[in-house]
Amino acid sequence: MLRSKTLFAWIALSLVGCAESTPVQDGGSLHAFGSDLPRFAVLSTDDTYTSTSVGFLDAEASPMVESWIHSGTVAPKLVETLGGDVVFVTEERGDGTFTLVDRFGTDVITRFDLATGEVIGQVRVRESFAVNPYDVAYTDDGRAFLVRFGKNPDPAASDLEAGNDIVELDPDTVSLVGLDPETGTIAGRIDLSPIDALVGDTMTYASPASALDVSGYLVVGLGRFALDYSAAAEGGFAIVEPASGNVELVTIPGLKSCEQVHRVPGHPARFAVHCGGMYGSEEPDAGLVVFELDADGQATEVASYLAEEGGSPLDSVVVLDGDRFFGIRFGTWDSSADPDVGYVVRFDDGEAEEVLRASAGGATLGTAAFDPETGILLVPDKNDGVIQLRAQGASFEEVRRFAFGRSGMRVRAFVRL
Amino acid sequence: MVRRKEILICIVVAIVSIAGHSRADDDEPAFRARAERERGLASLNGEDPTASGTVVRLDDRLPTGEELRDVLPEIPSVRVMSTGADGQYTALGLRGTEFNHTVVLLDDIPLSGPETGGFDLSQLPVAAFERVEVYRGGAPTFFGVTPVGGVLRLMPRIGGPDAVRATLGTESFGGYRAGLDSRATVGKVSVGGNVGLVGARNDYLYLDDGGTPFDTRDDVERRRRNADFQRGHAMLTSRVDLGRTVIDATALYVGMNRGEPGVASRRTERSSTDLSHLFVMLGVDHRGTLRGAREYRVRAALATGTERRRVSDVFGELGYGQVDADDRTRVVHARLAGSVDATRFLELVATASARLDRFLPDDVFASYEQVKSTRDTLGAGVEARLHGTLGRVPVELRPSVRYEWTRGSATGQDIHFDEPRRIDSASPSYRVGFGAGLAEGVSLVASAYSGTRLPTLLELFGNRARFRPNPDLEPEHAKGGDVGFVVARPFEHVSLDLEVRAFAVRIDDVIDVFVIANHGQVKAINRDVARIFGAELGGSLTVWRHLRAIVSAHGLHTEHDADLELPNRPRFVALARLEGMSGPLGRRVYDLAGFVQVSHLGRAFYDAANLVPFEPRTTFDVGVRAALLVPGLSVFCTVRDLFDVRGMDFTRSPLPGRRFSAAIQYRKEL
Repeated sequence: MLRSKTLFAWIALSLVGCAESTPVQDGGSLHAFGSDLPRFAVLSTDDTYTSTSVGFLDAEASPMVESWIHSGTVAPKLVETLGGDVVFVTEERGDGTFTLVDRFGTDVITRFDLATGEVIGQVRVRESFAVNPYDVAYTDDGRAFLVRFGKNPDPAASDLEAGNDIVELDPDTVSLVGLDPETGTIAGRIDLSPIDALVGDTMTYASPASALDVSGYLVVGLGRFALDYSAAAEGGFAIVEPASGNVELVTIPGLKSCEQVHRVPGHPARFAVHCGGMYGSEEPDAGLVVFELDADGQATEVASYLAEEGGSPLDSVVVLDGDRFFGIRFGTWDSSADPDVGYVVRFDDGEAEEVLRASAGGATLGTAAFDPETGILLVPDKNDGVIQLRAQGASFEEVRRFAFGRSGMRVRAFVRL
Repeated sequence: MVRRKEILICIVVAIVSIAGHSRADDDEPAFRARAERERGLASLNGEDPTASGTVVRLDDRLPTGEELRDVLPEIPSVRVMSTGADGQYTALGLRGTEFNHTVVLLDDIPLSGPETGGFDLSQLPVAAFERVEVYRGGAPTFFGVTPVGGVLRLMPRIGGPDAVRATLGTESFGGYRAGLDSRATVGKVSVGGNVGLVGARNDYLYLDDGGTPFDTRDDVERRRRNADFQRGHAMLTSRVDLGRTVIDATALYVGMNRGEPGVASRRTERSSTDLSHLFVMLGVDHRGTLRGAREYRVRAALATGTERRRVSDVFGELGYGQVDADDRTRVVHARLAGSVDATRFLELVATASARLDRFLPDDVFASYEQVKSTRDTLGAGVEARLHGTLGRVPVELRPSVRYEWTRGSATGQDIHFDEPRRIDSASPSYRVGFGAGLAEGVSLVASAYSGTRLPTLLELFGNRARFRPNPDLEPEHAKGGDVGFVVARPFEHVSLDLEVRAFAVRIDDVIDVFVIANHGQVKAINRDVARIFGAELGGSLTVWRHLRAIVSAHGLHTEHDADLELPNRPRFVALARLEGMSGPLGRRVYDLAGFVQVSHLGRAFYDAANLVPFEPRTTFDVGVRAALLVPGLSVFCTVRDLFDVRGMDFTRSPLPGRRFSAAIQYRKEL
């Protein structure tokens, strides 16, 4: 790059306030935590979802590093270090590694070793078409499976470009298992097209959005959307047997957009399926349903909480135990008079206890995280930063709120490491 | 592929214009009433000496293979955004404002409308125009627009000596360029025609990092795919000079087809845009005197435009879902402007305009009923032009106000808004310009203004899919001002044009588009305040008709949220070009000319959070032009980005790097 200051000094002198010298990058290295590993990761984005920053908290939710990696950590080329649509995985591996899913348009998975601060690996999971990776599920036998939400409408697309599927990811090399780079064929790819469905005359696709390993099966949350989101099929999830690639669709009548699956703490064979409902729908088609999976891969419903007309705390949820969940009801956009509210809700009688109010409404609160070991519940507030609550008997009480991260960034999500 | 019909139109226009040639009785410049008279203040534009307006003439350029994106940076405070090479989407921002804050005029009539967003300049051929004018900040009242950022005005070639000019060129990456221009006058009627065809494969090399900045092992150089384009245009102008009354007409047709390469990290193969644009304008100028003493001038214009835009992305390669659209926009615009010398020191100027916009969407893949959107706008403005001298200092004060009423409707653009919705808006605005002649050819100028941008129908009502509605959106409002000096002074062998200004802009209720949920759904929301401060410098110096230096530069300080800078605003932008012309050197060498140009884009941030830097970039262009062998014959050669810096545009689109253009041109006076 040619230097500019000498060439243009004479012009610059004639102008007011045009000096350019402020460094903006934080350097290209990542902090190594050694044995003092963080317990929570914190994801922040700017208002326009253009850039992302990730920081860490310790087991007591005290800040360790406020911006460990961000969109400008290394000099950008075609893409920046992190895009603006970055998410955590539903459940981390728990071995000191850390995963970031850079979704729509970037389509990149990156894994880090927090102890050494090293990048284990990074892979783009398509060639051209935005397959939109949503989640990585780690299994007890050391494997990892990636769900790709996007559906390529081109029927001639190769496996690599197809989407609407589950593909295996090698967690150590961070590469797609079975990929032939010459042809784009992926051996072992689990195509979810067989569970696509027609709604009227509109085709809806499986749209896998999250996954968990439950008793050796992959439980996969499904959006079941049309390509333009104008329609959604009956809500449901898939039970996938990784060894055989066998896929079973389980529908949840009356609910829609069952994209998120959650572990139920204290119940290894249980999982919860969160159905957010069709965006903009006035029907009570949202709900949270808990299932138990038997050894044969059969799911049995054990508890549920269904939306009521007028709004329910189901816009974002985290399961606390087999009896309760923490749920958020979004208020009016940017309104302090009708803010987002957080509740602890009991499955058995549907009783909802308010435990926090956000600074404003309209998705001011984001994706919470709960640590059953300490009873700490962390809820992101895009204006206030981190809201920390702690279990007090059957309820929760707010401990503190504190700003976190870089100027201009909004805290959106937590994940327990 | 440009269709046969479009090529046929080009040929017909060329034949008509050539057939009309005959020697003009005289070469008197055309009268173009502008409600404006010389008052002794130095100015670099012909409309309003108190306005920050700059003119670039396009008739006698040394570089070849130029698009508007190449010409406009010669003007201070210009920011051109494009998504790659020639033929790709290109938009203009002024003084650090957004691209949709610039109004684009063809002569007096807006080409951009409330639904166009940032007007795509790539569809406009430089060869069709005689000059471009850029007004930063508030625009002269006569234009009848109240922009937030400013005005780009494109002036068609009308009048001038009878001549025919043909150009044929070739460029890197499969580029070609052909054009024919002719003008003739028969009695009181002048006719001009201009046709052109431009295209390129644009398959230049760029570095693909594989989307993995932490892993350089997969970095590879690729050729840009699906970035080819073809564009054909035809412009026909005519003028009838009846003495006190002049009638002029302009018709412009542009047909363009281009691949849509998408962002470089997500390559496409089949998406494309095919557009055609027809614009016809009829204007009448009349001037006279009232009671034998008070001069008055009137200009009436009627214009209609239609645009057909076909966007094909049936496999969703661009990432916005499947699209197979055939959208049409129709516009009718009428305006009336006049001025009268009320007293010896007061001239009154009044404008009135009416505009009808109709947008007819048609997308095969749309899952909702597509209904016509309408927007009707009435505007009226008055300006009192006070002029005279204070002592021996000529001064001018131009206060003006304008009021604009907009009414529109849209139906069924979202499941929540399937009942007809109305848009009603009233937007008052003002401008005050001041100028004082400090010395011969030197003026102090200042202005303060307000401007408004109405939300688009898309921003208001969404599209039932990704774009969510927000019918409560308020218009953006801007207030700004500038102060500076203008020098326009010819000496015996030296000519100097110079403008230096400081400016400030505040935009309230900025409309930003937010992602509000998963799956990329977005919503436009009125937010906070944006503040922009800056200084600009522009000028040219001509010495002995053999040397010319052109300079433009601006510096910006912007503020947004929490003292962060606005994204994509380079803090410092500069261009300098040195041109040398030999004049006749022998019997067969009529002129040898060359230029060296250096352009600099300073540091900016890609994102609103100011995390991702846009690295500064400096490029050099060089070129020669030789007029030799026979009178009127010239050959051109231009090398852009001589040191192959390449880099990225603000949209993360790779730029083509070093490239060559060569052309041969023949011009004959008739």
